[in-house]
Amino acid sequence: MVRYAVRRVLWAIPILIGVCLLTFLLFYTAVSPQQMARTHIGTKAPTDAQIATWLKVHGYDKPLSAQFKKHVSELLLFRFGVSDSTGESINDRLLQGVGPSALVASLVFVITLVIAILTALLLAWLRETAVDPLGVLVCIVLMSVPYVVVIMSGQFMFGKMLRWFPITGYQPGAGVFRFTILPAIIGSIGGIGSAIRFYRSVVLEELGQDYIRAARARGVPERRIMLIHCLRNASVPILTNAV
Amino acid sequence: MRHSHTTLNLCSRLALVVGAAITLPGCNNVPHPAGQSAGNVLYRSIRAEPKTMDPSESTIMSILDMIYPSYYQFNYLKRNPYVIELALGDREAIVKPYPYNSVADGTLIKHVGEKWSFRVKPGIYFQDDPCFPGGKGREVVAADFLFSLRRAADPSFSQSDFITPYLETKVLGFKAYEDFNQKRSDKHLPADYTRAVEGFRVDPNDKYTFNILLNAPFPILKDLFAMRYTTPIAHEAVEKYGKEFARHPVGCGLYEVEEFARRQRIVLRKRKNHYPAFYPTEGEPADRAAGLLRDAGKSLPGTDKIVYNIIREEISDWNLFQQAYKDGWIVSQSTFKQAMSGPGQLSDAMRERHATINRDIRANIVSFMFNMKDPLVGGYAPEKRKLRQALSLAIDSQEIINLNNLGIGKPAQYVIPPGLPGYDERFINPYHGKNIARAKALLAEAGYTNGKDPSTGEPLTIAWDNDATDAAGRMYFALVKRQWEALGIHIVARTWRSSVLIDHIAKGDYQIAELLWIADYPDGEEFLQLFCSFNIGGPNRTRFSNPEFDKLYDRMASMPLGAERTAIMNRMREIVVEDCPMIYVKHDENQIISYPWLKNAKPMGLDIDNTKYLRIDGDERIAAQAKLNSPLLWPAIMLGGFGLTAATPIALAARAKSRRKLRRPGGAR
Repeated sequence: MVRYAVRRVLWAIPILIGVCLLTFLLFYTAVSPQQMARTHIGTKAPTDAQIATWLKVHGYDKPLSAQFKKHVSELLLFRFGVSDSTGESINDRLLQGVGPSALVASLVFVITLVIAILTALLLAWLRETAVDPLGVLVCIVLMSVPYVVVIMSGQFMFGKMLRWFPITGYQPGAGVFRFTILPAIIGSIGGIGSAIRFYRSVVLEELGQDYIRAARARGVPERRIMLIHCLRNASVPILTNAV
Repeated sequence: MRHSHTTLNLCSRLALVVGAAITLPGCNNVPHPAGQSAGNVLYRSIRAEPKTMDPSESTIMSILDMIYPSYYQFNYLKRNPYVIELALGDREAIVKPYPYNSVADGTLIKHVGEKWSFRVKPGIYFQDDPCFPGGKGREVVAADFLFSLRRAADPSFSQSDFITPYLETKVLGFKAYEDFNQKRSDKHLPADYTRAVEGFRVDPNDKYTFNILLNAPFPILKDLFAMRYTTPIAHEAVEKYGKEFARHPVGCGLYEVEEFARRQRIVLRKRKNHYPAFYPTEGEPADRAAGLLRDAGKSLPGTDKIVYNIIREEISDWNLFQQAYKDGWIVSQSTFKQAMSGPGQLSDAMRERHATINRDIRANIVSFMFNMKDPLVGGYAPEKRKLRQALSLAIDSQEIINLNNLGIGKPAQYVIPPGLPGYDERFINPYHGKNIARAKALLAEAGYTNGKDPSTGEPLTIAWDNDATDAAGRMYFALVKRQWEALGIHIVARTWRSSVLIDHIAKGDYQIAELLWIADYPDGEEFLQLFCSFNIGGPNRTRFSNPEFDKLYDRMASMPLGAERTAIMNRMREIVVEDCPMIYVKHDENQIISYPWLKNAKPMGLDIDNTKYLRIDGDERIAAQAKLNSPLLWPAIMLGGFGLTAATPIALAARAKSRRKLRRPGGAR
């Protein structure tokens, strides 16, 4: 086992260097440093001297090998340098953005998981009725709607018509949920269709198991069968998928 | 009985959820902090955060105008021509001849340059900041202006250099100072801001007076001293914050930064001890009737706070404006149909809100430029000239404006926009305006009868390099292609990413490309430099070269405004119109919608932030916001009804299933 782990770790080193090299070269192929300089320099008609200065200040005048060496060594130390555009530290930018992003992502995760599991349990329980195919149809519709349409519709409905949440903005502190609930709702709607379909399949598979039949034979209430017996066993694939 | 209870329970719970949603405590769509909208606070938005807040670096972020004023400013109300007036300056700059000598090949040469003497108003203070002793802002003196100008010679300012080319060619000793700093940079040393520059002198008897020595007359210096690049800068701030000065402004303006939340907002607040500034007492004839002189003579700034929200998506920004959470709106293509019923005419929805619209032609030019070095469309032979003239006559600017810009804009006859010296309202370009018959005749004289290339017998093929990668861009390309192909020629698109297109144009690797040039200061000179041969590789992207034009430019640029200068500009116009290195398409137009609580709004064609003149009636705004944003019941009821409708079959199905199970003895299947 130890030998396997060591071998995998050693293999990861050339793979990581290869990926770094590939992305580094792709970066240069897609946009040359000169083109970047022309884009970033504020003046309307940058001269060759200004471009040369920009390249020098940002380290693009050095040989490619030296640039790559610096690139990899800084990545290894999680030093992402500064933005070519603003001069701001990339680490700082990541730290500034991680809070709001994590909050919205957590809300989306929780809302989607809870609603999708409950709906999947309901649809699976009502499989022999018209509710199940109708529910699946709604899920397919939700999966088919482009995300941007969900965003715009969500803003329109909750921000412009119901007027419950601000359409845009962010303020940390006590009022943070006013600004994060709408993106969380929209994010949940965008991903809930596929989640319900998958969870429904998992629950249906569990409902066909012998232990469910045995529980019913013993007279266990349906609510307990669904929420305890079935859900507990369906949790493994559900959580694997969700996380 | 038990089952109907279950259904009842489900319905009542759903109703409870809907009811709670309707009356959700604290739920509203106000994006601003509580109570702020009632104050004299102006809400604006920007699409991206500023790359830098350092005034020495060239940037389009005009927010800096509020923090970093300069010696002069442009009068807010006057146009045609724009008028320059004092801001931080105590008096008009005094300009005198300045004789000086130079030595070339051992020979003494005498020159006459100019000495500009400026005096800053005593009693102006920088904002309070920890960089000053005791945290109290110190008084602005003459040396702060010269410190600011010295920073233009810092090679590490790679974003920048708007003002540097002017200083290095005009100010005595500036080029040597720049070279000195470049050598220090090569040795990885920082620029030396303390070194003396021959052309920068503080009056030894008056700390408020400074002189700038020029090697030749240069009237444009006055315009430059009305721009943020010449604002006084406190050396203490630069020394304390270093590179972070770009994100930590310390100015002497009417406002100071209260909050700089990256990617969210920039909040400026009125300074307590700002310099004396007043609303203009005179304007254009229509300004009084438009209510633009109600605040004449009143102290500035008009607002206590300005909030610049960083909103990347235009649709979100537009929604904020519709909800009255933003005070003004610049009409764009995507919002035109909702905001306007026609060019200059507000939509019914906007009129119901008592909004008003202000229009102003922007000081810019949108044109198609020819590569004058290209063997097909370039060159100065008569047939080459006629080919370009024919292509110019095929373009219908008004159709482009109508179809591509929803009627917003003004067809251009020439490169200089309205309101700038050198612009002539009466001038009609003989090679402008759609005239296919004449264009075809010129094309035949150029050797391409009916648009056919005699060497191949096929339609003449010309490449148009563009970055029309989206649907709107492709539609624009199709429109212009159709206009040109009416001559029987064939236009092919060479579409690139913007950065690649810029590179191709800079290297002269194109035949026809589009150019947008925006004025930095109000002088037609800035547009005429686009044709100067010494600017090839820089602003002169057509690579046009004409020795007479160059000489005329040099003379004109060193002359004050007046009839003689205008006559020279007219002669320059004759040259470029005849040689036709550009097809002049249009000047853009600003159409700004303002709500009634936003006072004193008047657009300006120049890229200058005039927010300090605006004022907000907070009570009027808060009333409008309440009216426009009171929660609507019907969508909530509709949503609740929809939920009930969806829940009913579920409840019925659940009930039926439970009953079915009860009927089965033992539940066995």
